Amino acid sequence: MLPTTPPQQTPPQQAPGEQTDNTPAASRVTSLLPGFGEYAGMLVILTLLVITFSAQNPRFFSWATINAVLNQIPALTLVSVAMTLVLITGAIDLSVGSVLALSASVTGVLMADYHWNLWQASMAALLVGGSCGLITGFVSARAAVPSFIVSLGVLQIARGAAYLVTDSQIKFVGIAAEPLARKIPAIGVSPAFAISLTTVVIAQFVLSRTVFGRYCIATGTNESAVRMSGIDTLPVRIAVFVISGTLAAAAGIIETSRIGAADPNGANGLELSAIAAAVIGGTSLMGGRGSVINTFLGVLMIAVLQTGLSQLGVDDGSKKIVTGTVIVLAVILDSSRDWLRQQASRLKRR
Amino acid sequence: MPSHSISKTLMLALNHIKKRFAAPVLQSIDLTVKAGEIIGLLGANGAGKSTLSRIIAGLLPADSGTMTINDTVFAPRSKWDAERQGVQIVQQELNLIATLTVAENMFLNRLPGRWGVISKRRLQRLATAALKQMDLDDICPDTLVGQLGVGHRQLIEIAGALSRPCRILILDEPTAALTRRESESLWKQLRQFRNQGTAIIYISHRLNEVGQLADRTVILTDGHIVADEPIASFSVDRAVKLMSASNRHFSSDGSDGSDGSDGSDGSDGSETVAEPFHCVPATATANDLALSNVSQGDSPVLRIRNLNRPPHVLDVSLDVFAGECLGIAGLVGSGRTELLRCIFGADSAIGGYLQIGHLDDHVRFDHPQQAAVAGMAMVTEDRLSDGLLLSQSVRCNSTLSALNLLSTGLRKWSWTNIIRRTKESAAARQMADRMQIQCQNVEQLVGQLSGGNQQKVILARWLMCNPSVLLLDEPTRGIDVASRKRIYQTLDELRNAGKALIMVSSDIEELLQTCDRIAVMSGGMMTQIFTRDLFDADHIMQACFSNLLTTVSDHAIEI
Repeated sequence: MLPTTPPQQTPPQQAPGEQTDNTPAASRVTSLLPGFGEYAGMLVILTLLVITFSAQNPRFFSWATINAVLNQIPALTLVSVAMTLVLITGAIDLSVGSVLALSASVTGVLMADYHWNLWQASMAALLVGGSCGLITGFVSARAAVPSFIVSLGVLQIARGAAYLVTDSQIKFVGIAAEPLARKIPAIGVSPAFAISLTTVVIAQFVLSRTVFGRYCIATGTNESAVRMSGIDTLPVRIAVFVISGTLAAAAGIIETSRIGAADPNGANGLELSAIAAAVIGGTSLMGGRGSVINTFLGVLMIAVLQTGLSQLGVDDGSKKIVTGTVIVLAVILDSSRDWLRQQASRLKRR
Repeated sequence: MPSHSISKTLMLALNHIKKRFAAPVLQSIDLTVKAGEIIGLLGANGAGKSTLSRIIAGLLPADSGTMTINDTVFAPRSKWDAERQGVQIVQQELNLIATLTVAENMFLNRLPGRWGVISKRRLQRLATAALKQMDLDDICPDTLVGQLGVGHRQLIEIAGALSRPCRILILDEPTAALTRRESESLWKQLRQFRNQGTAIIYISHRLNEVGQLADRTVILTDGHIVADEPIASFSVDRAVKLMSASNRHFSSDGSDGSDGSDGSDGSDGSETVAEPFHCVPATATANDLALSNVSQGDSPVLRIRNLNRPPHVLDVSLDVFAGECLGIAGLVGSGRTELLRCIFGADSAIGGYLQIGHLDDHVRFDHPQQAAVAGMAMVTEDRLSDGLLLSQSVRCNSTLSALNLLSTGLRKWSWTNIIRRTKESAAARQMADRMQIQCQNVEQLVGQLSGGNQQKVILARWLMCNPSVLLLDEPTRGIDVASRKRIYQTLDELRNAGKALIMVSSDIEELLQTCDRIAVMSGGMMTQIFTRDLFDADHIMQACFSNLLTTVSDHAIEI
């Protein structure tokens, strides 16, 4: 059954990569616009939303609105980006809202009571957030407890710690924390927004271009296969939670700076908004699929909805109902997109 | 719904039952089963025993052919349908729900009660009676099944089947997890049921068990019944011979129609019928070389010493040489897969060690990552659950293990390394070309490929890492002939490049043709190693059964 020495006896470890031709021209063109098709759907929906609101309300399409949206989203963006990474590995982090509040509280207390400056306090807060993530990640990955449960525990713990740290009081830091939220005239946006946008770009790069990002996607797709491919998934699973905790802390600092105060009760339920943004952006809760850019577009969509509905004078209850409906619709649309693609490829194969 | 009154005249008849999956599994089976008889159904791996029993039990439809019970057509649409007509099956994989009680499991599809409220008392009574019938008085019906051992679970499943109207009972390897004492008590019960008129189809690898218990033996080989005779004329030696003989006409019986297309290079199986010990004259030099290396006592690439992970791997020692393909034969459950997993670190061994290459270090891997770093690779048996990222592209799948070689960064092995996309795509394309993976392009999702191409993707993944030892678990199971041929070719290339291969396969003919030596596992132990000049399907098959014949009781107790 084994034939003789094959004629094209290529040494197995030929430095891979010298050959670049035989790519069909069409696929070369699409590779110039990597995944633009992926974002197109989200962009269309976002544009439709903007047009609808502008038609309803002439004041909507204005600098004031844009500023309001941009001022509103940095914290949610950071948390959602991290959530996307966590979801892609097939895990979930419910603790981000509480971790944000804890980090904000730490920042507030250090600045208000101990008179640290913003940067020193920020470092401490990032450390606290990262540690929370480390705990969640380590326990869930090592003890094989579902991350849903571990992060649910950390959600309570971090909230409790926030109350203890602040003595359950809002800590006012005032002008000292403002630099992050104040608009820089030269670039037209606040440092907070610049930071969150940079994070989106970096995270997308990490996800799509680094070995770590690939391991995240692979782990979420089939962890057992990754393991049997000689890759240790434990560090991957821990690292995404550390990233999540750290970014939640960064969001906490930004919130403190925006309000000028640290609220131990703040960011309640933020984890759900973050999950919503990721899911609207097509991230799979089963892991293995997601895009940071699309999550960012999801965040924008939520923000535009909120702002637009407020400007129309819609009450809070109806706002929630509309937002909820949009989330469900987006997910249905997303899953039917998959279905359509499958049908298309099936037809093509016939 | 037919009554389940047991009649002595009951007769299940199978007429020309055929079934094929990728290849024909059952080829025109004619069989009758009478009331009050125990039939021992024997056959090697993949002979079609399980398929046949699943067809009778309504779990699979037959492609063609009919079944009758007492001359009325019996065509179960589901397991439930077959059960209503008195055909019960207890499969090898147990179907109990760990979080329910023994009683609830036994009566799950007919819980006694009224208006949807379960009558605990009646359930208890029924369960107690059913357990008593099986001599299982020591099991409390309220115990959660999860708290019981495998042996007890097996017995409970049998008790559950017998508590339903049961005219025909099919048992697939019922004693695999039982101790000697439990087995004997089970046999006693089975004989009793037989005397009451139940027909029993008893599937087992343990030939002397069948010899003691059955009234009639039916031997299946490659989907044919090759023997159907009363127990009086049964002998273990003859049975083994009949089971292995089948492998001879594996591809020459015309079942593998596409085989003819590649006859030119000698991968046509029928050639080996004439000349079973050698594949193709032209490979002789390569094989002789590999063999002479072995006989000269060259230092092995991989030394396995006393590797231990009970109950499946018991004290296994093995040497594998460069440029050699070592086959591992054995029945399902003999510990073949577990041995490979132990070597590769997917399961940790509790004793023994490996020595790799010229290093004197004694190592034992706790994670496949360590094995991969040490230059080992493993193609897993179940490519869907342990091998592929189905929803990812061919590119992503094939470069997974070698990502760091295709990326740039500060250090050679680091997560922060940036994947060089052109290099990655080119490597994937090159490997797809080399392995002849049929896909639109390397961005196609692996889930859309055929089984053979999927398997080639996994091989491609490891080839990129250039391993020195490659472990293959059923590398050609269920894949088309062209892919199979390409895989054999690849294995040969690797062998010529001085790699060491260990290949597990249920297909003895495949091992005879591809391997330089064949090691046989039976009951978790390495029982015999055959060199090429001693290759003989009968002897290998005998070795597969060896531990089950001699130490049936000890073996059972170990588990």
